[in-house]
Amino acid sequence: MLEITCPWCGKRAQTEFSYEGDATVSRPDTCDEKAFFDYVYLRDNPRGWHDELWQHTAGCRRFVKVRRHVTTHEIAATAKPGDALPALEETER
Amino acid sequence: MSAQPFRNGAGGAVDRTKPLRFRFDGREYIGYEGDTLASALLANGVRLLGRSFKYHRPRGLFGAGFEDPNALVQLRSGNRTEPNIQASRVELYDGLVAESQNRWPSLDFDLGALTGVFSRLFPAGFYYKTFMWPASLWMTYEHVIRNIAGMGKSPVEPDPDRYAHRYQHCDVLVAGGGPAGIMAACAAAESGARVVLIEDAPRLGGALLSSQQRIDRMAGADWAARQETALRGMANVRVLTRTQAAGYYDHNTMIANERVADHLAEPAPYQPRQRIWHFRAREIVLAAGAMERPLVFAGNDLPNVMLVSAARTLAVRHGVRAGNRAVVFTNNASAYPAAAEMAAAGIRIAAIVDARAHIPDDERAIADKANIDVLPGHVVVAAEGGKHGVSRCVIARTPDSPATESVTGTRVIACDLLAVSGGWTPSVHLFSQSRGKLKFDAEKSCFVPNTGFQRERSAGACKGDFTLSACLEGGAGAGLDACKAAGLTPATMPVPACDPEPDVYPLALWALPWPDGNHDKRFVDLQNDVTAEDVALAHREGFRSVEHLKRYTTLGMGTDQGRTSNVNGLALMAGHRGEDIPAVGTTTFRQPFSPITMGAVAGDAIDEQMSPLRRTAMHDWHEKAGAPFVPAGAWLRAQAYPGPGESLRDAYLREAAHVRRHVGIVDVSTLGKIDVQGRDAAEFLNRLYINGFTKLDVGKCRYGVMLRDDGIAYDDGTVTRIADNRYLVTTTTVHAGPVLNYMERHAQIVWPELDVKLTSVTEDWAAIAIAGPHSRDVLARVIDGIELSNDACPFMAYREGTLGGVPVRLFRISFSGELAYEINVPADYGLAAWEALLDAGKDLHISPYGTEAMGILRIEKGHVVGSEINGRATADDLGFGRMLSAKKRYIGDVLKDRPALTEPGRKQLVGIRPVDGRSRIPRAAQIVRDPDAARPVIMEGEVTSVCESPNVGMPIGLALVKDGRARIGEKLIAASPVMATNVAVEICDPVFIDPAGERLHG
Amino acid sequence: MVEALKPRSALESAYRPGPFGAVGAAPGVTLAERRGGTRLHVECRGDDAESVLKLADALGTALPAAGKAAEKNGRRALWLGPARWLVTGGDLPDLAAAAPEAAINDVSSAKTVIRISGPASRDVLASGCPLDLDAAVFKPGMTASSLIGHYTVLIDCIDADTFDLYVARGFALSFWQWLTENAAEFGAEVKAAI
Repeated sequence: MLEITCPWCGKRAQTEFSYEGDATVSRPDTCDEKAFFDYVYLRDNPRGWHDELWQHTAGCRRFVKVRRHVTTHEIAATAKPGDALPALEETER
Repeated sequence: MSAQPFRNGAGGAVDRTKPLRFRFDGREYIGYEGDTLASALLANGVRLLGRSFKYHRPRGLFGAGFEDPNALVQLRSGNRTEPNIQASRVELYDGLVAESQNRWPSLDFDLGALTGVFSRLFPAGFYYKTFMWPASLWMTYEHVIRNIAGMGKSPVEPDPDRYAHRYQHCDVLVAGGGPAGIMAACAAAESGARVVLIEDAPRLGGALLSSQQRIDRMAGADWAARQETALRGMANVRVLTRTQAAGYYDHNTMIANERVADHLAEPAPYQPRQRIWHFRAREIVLAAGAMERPLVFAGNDLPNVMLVSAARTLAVRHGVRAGNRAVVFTNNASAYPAAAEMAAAGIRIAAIVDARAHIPDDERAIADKANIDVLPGHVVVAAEGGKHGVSRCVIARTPDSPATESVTGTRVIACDLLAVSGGWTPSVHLFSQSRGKLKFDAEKSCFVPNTGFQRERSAGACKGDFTLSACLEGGAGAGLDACKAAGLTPATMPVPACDPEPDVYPLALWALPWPDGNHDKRFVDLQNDVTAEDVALAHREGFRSVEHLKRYTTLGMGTDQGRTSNVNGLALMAGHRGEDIPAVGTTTFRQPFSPITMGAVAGDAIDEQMSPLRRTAMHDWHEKAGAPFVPAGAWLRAQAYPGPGESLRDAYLREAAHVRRHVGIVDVSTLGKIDVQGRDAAEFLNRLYINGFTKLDVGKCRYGVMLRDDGIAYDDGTVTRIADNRYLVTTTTVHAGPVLNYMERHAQIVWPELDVKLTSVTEDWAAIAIAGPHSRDVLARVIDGIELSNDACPFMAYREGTLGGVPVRLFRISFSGELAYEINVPADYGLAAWEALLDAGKDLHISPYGTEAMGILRIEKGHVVGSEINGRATADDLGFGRMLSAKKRYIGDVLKDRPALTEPGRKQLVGIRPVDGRSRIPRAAQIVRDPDAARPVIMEGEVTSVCESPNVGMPIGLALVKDGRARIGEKLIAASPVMATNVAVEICDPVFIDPAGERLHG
Repeated sequence: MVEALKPRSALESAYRPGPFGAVGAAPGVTLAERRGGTRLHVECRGDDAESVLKLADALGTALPAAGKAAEKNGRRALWLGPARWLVTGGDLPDLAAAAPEAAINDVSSAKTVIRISGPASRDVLASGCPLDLDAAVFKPGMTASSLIGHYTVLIDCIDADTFDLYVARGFALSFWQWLTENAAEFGAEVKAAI
């Protein structure tokens, strides 16, 4: 079971969280159909580090950004939704 | 009953003053406290303990612990029976009952052994080759094969015991309670760490319990006992014995299975039988020990051919002589002290047959001291005997080349015990599970941990440190290292002195040639009956990678997952491939290390705890009224209230008719309720819903529909403006959680600049809908503080008042199309309010109704639910096109206009009724023109909801039909191939009752 | 006129005071439902220190930091999430008027509250809760919303071996079943509701 550091609650068990998708896409602010298509349907599927959203559903109910390695399940960093995760190069180093 | 002819009068950790009776295959025996089932059987001279999986060959005990592949028994009987239990790990208790497995009609006379006679017909891959064609018969074959080849029998009765789980965090977790683990735990404990020490055996000590080696000038077992007492006395230490460290998972999670009461006939009252521990450790020390490896030669599976360590354990720990005259066959040093201890226990050692040509002096000295003959440069090439054990072995000079196929110049030594040691295999399973990478240590001829991945370190034999002094020192070091890594200050940890022993450098010897005149099987994997020839066959047929080898031959499968066979098997494959062992690699080790019963995995998550139930405040009333319940999400909802002699159908048809004639109440507490507050609450709702909310007045409700960003309808409900910056949103029952989560996502991530606060208040309010022409009259009798007249409280009004002194929220909304209200009271008062309404409306014939009648009423009114808002329909499809605001942005506004969602041919919501006015419309039917048309039949639409309507007077339904709104009056077929029913239906308006809305505005 | 309505606990049908399970000399845990009292769900407009302090003053409560509980004026406030608290007390005046910028909901009925006490209480909770419940880690004055079994439970550590468990009313009966089943091993007693 993973251990995810909630920026508010600290280290908590994965079971307290629910996975909420890709943190690298953001909702377009336009009426552009193409932009919305990308937002709704297009996802990268990287092997390696991936920035994800999790919600601390059984805890503070806040969304959390999580940088997780999709093959090893390592978690390099977590952040509040409004804050940036460290640069990817930094994690890869 | 019999004496124990192979039990010594003294010695070992058994209590001879505590005899225990037990039964094996129906015969009664006596053993002692401290015995395992295996040791007790061998004390009684019982050596035939089972039949092998495929060939039904007679088998006896092979290993004394986890590593034993043979002596699997069916333990206990009746509802507690359990198959495939290792006799070597079963603690004896008084009254124990066990049966051997895989034999019929008896262990002694087994018909299945005929497969052994015809074994040339059953090579590796036989099942794949023979029975897979024709595929249609595989089911039949499989049934027969499983009956012959099956292991034990699963219990057929419910398990009477309970199983528990436990979570625990710690600084240092030590897996394994042998000398290395004990030292690691002591070192960490002394450093002040929170320590957990896990050991599978009933007491700490590991290999110390099976040897006479001394530590700190006392017997190793006594030293272990002293350390165990000390550790158990420390507040920062938890020692768990009878506990298997079963799995190493991500983020330093370790799963362990504690056999709390398996050493008892049955658990004490309320005691769990087993407990699964979920550990989260900052640092882990792996001290899992090592398992001895067999050697591969003809007949190496006969009963009483066993690992040297097994014979040693029986002798030292249990005071049991596995035989009277033993040959010890080894390729390494570890057999020497073992042989000496076996000799001391009264076993005559005929010879140590050592494959190595040169025996180091220290080993030779051990043999000399014990007066044991050594035959250097010799090997055993065959064991011979019968089903009750080996009677002699054939020895020859060590072959010059591993490829040698047969040898001559053999001689025979009589023996009733052949103890073999092919070196040691470190238990790297947990390390491997943690994603650590292994390397092959050619000198020690085994895989050892190389690069780790998680926060762990290995110590002792599981790392390839086989001598006791190395275990003690390595264990202490690992414990201190773990503390340092956990950020603690490591204490100083003196390492006690111990007797020296020779280190293990085995001579590589993977399969021995056959002697003349003996071509018996040479087993690599005893549990799965895989021979050296099977490995060769797999290689010839191209299954050369270890993963293919495993699947083709079943090498390393079964309950023991190749504990004794893994290295020998892949070394043989490496030989065939002409490569070295590291190039061949190993298969992946998976959790759990040893099987865990499903009951323990499930723990308390059975019955209601498997999927908890959510009950409304009025639940007990519904239950008492005899209502059957229907699940909606986790909620239980009352389906209907059948009266005496009334069927469920009678009841809901009556209820549905009653509401439109008189008045009824229904428990709608399960609908989601979300309180939305903040200066931007209206703006937030505007962005979520397709219709506008900025102009909704305080004290008014409005129906709202949400889309998803892809333009498809998501959920519907009402929005009520309670105060200036405060709204109450209702959702469907099943979507309550997802909609809250959806709102939170948008509030937190998409529009964090909005001042909006979301609170789920579903649980706080019990909700009752009251519907029917008399609903206002009933309410007027119970509600205080609200003027209920049509002018003062019109359709879609919201008011606050009291009911019996309790605050009440009143919404004039209608799902049924009748004059109706929904009232919310604090849930603690829900039942009292429900009863007050029933009481007040008695003379007006008030009656409760359930979800079935509610469903009928809403279908009659053409209201949509999840069957229509099905994740494919758009707002316009469902008839909400006019609600789509053009004056604002909202979720789904862009993609709702894409061509596929706006083209002609969309399926639109319509009503349907049977053309004959009486046929029931099949549920979930497809709407077609002609069900008998050439395939594929063109689908015109689908039936989404159906009911019998007492108020319309015929069955009716809702459907999504291509361009449906333009096809009113058209006659089509509702076809259900599943129910083999076709009903002619007419497309009609979805609103069957009161299309003008006079009733609800009344 | 309707008679004054009487409240009813979600545990009513299952609540039977008395010892149960493997009771020896003394029960390992005691269980008691805490009934009555007012509970408010309070959300502050901002989660900066100044806004929180202002709201706390307006409400006459202390509003603790993440993972903490605090008491003032007979009211105990539990941290729920950033800028969100559960304020509990015997009788709370209409605080909404005092703090118009805050979102306040009376949620007195929304949760069933069970007090678990006794030397085995941490063991019982750890039978289903993945939090680190070590006495040196989860201390009096700390709160956490986590899982116990399948249930989302707000745990309020009252003293070394006493906890208040807040569980959604609808799940209360299922949770009570879980709790009593897991407490039985340690010997338990249900006390009269408090």
